[in-house]
Amino acid sequence: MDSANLTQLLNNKQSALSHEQQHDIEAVYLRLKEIARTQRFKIRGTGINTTALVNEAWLKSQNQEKTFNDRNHFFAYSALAMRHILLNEAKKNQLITYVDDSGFAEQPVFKESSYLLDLEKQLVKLKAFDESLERVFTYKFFGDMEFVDIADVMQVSERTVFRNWKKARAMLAVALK
Amino acid sequence: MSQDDLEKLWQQIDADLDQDDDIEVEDYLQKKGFEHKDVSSLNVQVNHLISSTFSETELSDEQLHNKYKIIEQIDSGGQSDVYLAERSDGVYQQTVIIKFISGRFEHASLKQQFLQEMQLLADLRHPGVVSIIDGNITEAGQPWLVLDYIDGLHIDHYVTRHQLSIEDVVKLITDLCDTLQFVHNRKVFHKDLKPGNVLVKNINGVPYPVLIDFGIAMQQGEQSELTFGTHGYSAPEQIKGELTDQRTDLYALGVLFAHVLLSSTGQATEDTANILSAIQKAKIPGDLLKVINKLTAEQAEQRYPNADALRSDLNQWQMGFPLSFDNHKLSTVVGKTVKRHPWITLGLLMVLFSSVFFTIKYTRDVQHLQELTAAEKNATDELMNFMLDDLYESLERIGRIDVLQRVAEKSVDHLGKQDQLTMDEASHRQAAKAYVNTGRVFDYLEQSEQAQNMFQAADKHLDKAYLMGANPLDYYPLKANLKVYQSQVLSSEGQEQETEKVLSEAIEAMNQLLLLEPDSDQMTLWEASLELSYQMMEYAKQEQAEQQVAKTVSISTEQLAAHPDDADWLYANSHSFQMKAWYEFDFGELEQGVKDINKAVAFAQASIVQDREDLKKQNNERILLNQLAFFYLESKQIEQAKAAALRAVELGDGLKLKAPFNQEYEREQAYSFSTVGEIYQQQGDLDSALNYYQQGLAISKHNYEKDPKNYSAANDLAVDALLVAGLEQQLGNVEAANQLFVEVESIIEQVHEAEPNNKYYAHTLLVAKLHQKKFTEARALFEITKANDMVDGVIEDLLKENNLDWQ
Repeated sequence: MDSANLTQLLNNKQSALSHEQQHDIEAVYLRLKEIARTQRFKIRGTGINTTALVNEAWLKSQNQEKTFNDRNHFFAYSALAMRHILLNEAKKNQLITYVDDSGFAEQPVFKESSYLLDLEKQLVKLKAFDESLERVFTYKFFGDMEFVDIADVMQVSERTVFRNWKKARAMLAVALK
Repeated sequence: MSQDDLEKLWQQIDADLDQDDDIEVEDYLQKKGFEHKDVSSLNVQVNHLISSTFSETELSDEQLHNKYKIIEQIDSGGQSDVYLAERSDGVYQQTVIIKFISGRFEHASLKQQFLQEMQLLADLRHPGVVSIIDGNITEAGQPWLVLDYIDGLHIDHYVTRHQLSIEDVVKLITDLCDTLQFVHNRKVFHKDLKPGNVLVKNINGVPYPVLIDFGIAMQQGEQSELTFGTHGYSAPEQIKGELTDQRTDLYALGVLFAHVLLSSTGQATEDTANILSAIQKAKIPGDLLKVINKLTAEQAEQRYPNADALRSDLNQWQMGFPLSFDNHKLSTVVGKTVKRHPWITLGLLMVLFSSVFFTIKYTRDVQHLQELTAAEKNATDELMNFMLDDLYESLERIGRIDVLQRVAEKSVDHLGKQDQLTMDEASHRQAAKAYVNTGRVFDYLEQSEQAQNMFQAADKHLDKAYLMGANPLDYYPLKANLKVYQSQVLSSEGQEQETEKVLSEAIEAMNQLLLLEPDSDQMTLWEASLELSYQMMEYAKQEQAEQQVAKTVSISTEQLAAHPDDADWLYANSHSFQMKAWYEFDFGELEQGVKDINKAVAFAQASIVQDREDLKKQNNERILLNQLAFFYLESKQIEQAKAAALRAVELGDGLKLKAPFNQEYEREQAYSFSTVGEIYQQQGDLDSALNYYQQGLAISKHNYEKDPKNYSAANDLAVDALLVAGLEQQLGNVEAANQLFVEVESIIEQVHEAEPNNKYYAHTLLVAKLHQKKFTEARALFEITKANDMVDGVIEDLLKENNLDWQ
């Protein structure tokens, strides 16, 4: 996925970001990618850890531009960015199978893509059911933020965040196919 | 579940958790009995998706993207991502492996280093090493490589799948030794040898191991500390991060050997760390266990010094000889000797006394032989190298193969003294080469029986070398060469079927070679094809001849197109067209023949321009001019014939100055003289004709006097003398003519008696008899000549002249 795609993705109503913030998320995305590369190299064979990715991206962003003065907001955007990035990738993978059926459906990447697309569908429903549940889930699941930080971003108590996380997880767990 | 049901469920969950928010989600869902999926962690749920999203393995580079189409990912993680891909730029179809290497090379110096290492690997062209097709660094700094796709199984899987015996496994390991030695010689070390990095591909039913996955870009510099190798296969010094060399690879090869042996005997262990302890208990030949232990010694100094040393021990094992580390032990030598000579074992059982006697005798013999071998091998190598070096070629260039006769005779003497039992693959191969070269010398000197014996001995040694695991890339060219030389002798002896057989063997060997290594030199293939064409023509198999001629011409034409300035292919091409011309002559297309022989002359001249020193090429032009003159004469173009023949005489004079002792050259020069003479005679310039005939006769006389036992020289003399005599007769010098006729008769009479079946000698004698009007004797000879289909214009004229109605 390139930056143009990301802009398009972030450019829908549900993200409600300013132009400037969208620009920053693109930067975050690029940085995430770059960090992912070096990370993969450091921890061979174990794949990429998104938490570490975002943390490192934050540290690096501190050394450079300062648009995201608030660390928690940065993490929140990153979570959102991660959700879009992965969703987009999953959609692309889903498309591949229509073109090419050389056993790709058996690969873990394909199965995970289906899983993620299903999750996205349920998240849309969850947003309709209760928007705050969807937000908590996104921050925690895609951004691996601390509950206290989510509470800070959402201006609610940490206990509420924790409860909402549990609710969202339980609801999605039963909803997923 | 419908939307409504889901919403009800959610409302229930909402309410339940509002009531008790301490409850764990998993427990809660279990207790309620809800079917559910896990949504606890992104990194667990979609681990692969994250990796594929964030890894830089899209074909971002345009160069790559335009050329290749990814089929599937076959490996990921670790040091690289590996894809199976297809070349998709429409140039040709090829399945390849694309490899993206982790780590980036943004700095110019690192890029440079990567490219240098790629070059190093690209230079490692060997059938046992996967070849690099392409590679570069993307703009983002990620290195990628395109490699040949090897369609084969990992060596351990191959061994299990095809149920290879221990002997077969050892053969595979010796092949690996060859490859490793080749690689190590170039100071490249694999550093990650393991079954997964050795694929076995099937070349015409013969398994051959191919090394893949060199730790590219991991050899030096920043990334080197990451080259840990594979657990269980890494040598101690590699684990400690100390200096590594070829012995580090040999350690891994030892573990691999052990693993493959275990696999072949159904005792494989899954745990790579356990291979070495498992092999100690396994049921495998004790010597191989010793080899493995030596390979996997803790200290690098205690291992084999290089792959060649290992290979030599494995060869010894294959032949049942003592290995390097115990050849001084009496018991081993005795044991091995007994094994090799089962009849001694019989003796042991029958009479104890004699067993002791024989054992001691053989032990001593073996030791004695080993001492002798060392000394002998040195001498042999020296002599053979002398023979094998380009001495033959060089002498051929100056037209002096004759000086090699002594060397050849000595060489035969020496080769005959070699003890076959002590010879390994390399010395068999050396011996084969020496025999081939000796045979060539004998053949050149027209000692065909000797030559044939040499070639047969060469064949035996070569087959032995092959059985002992000679590299097919060495074996096939030598085999093909040998068969071509053999065919030359056989065909001059008139052995039709044998000649065809060896030539098809030569072609077969070359085809095998080209399968293995498509870039091999095709000269021998061309030679075989040329010989086969002549063979078909000789026995008037028109259709086969036509096909073979076309094949031959196309081989040399294609090769010449690929190497436009190559003197040897120019030379070959001149021979191709020469042969084509003769085919056309034989089958009645004289005009086309004239055109083609002119082409042959042009190619011959071009080859001389490229290589002015080679007399062989100059002689070739002269011969072609002689033949061109002949073709022109046949097509009644006297002036052109004269020009060609005079040019041949001129070239011949030049050659005589450069190589005054070459009989073959002289004979050809004599032929030029008689052709010019014949032309003058046809034109009625009898004085000039006589002059040229006499020059030719002088040469023939000289050649005959030098070698009176050479029948062919005698016949040449007789033929030339007949020409002169005929002309003298025409000029009215009856006495001189008669004297010559008598001389010719006495010479050729003896030759004919010695070789009554030779049609040329019979023909010459017939002419002599007819000239002297000895008709009774001539009659019998005429019948022979007629049966040989040798009745020509000369004879017909003589019959008419004497009013004989024998036809």
